[in-house]
Amino acid sequence: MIENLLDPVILFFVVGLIAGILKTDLKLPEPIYEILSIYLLIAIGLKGGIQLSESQLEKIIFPILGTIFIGIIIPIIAYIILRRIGKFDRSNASAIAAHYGSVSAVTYAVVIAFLDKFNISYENYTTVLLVVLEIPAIAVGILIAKFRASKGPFSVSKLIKEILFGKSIYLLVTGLLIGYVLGPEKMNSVKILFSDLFKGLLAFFLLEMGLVTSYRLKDLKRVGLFLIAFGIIMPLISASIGTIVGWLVGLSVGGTTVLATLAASASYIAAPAAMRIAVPEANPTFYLTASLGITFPFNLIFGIPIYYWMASLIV
Amino acid sequence: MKKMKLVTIITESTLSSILPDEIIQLGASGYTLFEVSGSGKRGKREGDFSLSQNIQIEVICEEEVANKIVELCKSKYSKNFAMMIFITDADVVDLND
Repeated sequence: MIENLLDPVILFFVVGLIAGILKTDLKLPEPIYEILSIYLLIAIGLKGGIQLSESQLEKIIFPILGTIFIGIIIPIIAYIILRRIGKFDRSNASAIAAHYGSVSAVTYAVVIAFLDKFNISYENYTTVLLVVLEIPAIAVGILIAKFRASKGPFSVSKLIKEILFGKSIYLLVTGLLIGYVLGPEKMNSVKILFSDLFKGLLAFFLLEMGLVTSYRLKDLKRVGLFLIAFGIIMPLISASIGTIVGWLVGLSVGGTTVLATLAASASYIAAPAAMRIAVPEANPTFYLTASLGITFPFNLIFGIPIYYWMASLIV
Repeated sequence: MKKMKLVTIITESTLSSILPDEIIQLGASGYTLFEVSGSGKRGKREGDFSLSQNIQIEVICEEEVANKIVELCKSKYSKNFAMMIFITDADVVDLND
């Protein structure tokens, strides 16, 4: 755990977090944030694609099916917990549940950096699982929202289309394809930018994420104790499911850690934008504070080492 | 000069993918959209993160269309979205004269 904390990526996040809490005037201009997030998505996709070009594809079927299962089951479990125990109304429960089903690409990048740092090997196709998990989870979230809550005048098909052709899926998939088709040798010319500089730019991005997270912290008092506890316990439940599925489909310790982390991570970019429109009556303070203010820092600092420990116990 | 109305809507940027199209469908010939930040009764929008950004949409249109836009915003969005609308008179210069 301590070893995980002593990492530039994590420490930059903490620096951003503290800067926000202390109300320093540190602020990244919006275009920088945009370009960094586009860069990260392309780099994650390319890296996954290059790895994919060196692996056997037939082994990927069961992990994909397992990941789809995770994407469907987690928002349903989250919805039931939020309704029954948290006493949230249908709109808020479904909006929050969609966030926990969906994934955070940044958390994925951090778990990969964690495994690389400790030289723990993982399957070559984990980026495919990231893409796979993003799609069913947010679709299920929207469907729960649609059937259980919203009378909003927005069409489900339009929303799903917007997510499928949103920049994160688009960049990840095209990055995967380019990396896969070109392979490691032809990608050498861009290696400096997309591979060697990756961790430094990830650290830079996390500085901004620390700032953004700090802005959510002021809302902690408003969301109540239940949601704070949910923001910590739900990723642990999801990670347990991810660990068991990872073990069942035959992933290694590293691969299981990645799947558990993907399951545990909550979306804070694609899901909020989709849910604001799909379930306008749900309060954004709840889902943003839970996913960004609690679950994201929890996963980054405590979650990833815990999920690694869980994976090494069972696999 | 032509007597028209200037409708100004300040609202959440999430609606930037929906509202402009609806305004055109109601009969306006165009609109101007820009990103803004500020403070109102639903809290301060510092523009620091996707959901906390605001947009301002300005539409020059006939009074009838202006009323339709107001009606749409009231019935569909005002309950769940932070929104401010005002209408002012506009003397539009006819550049073809």
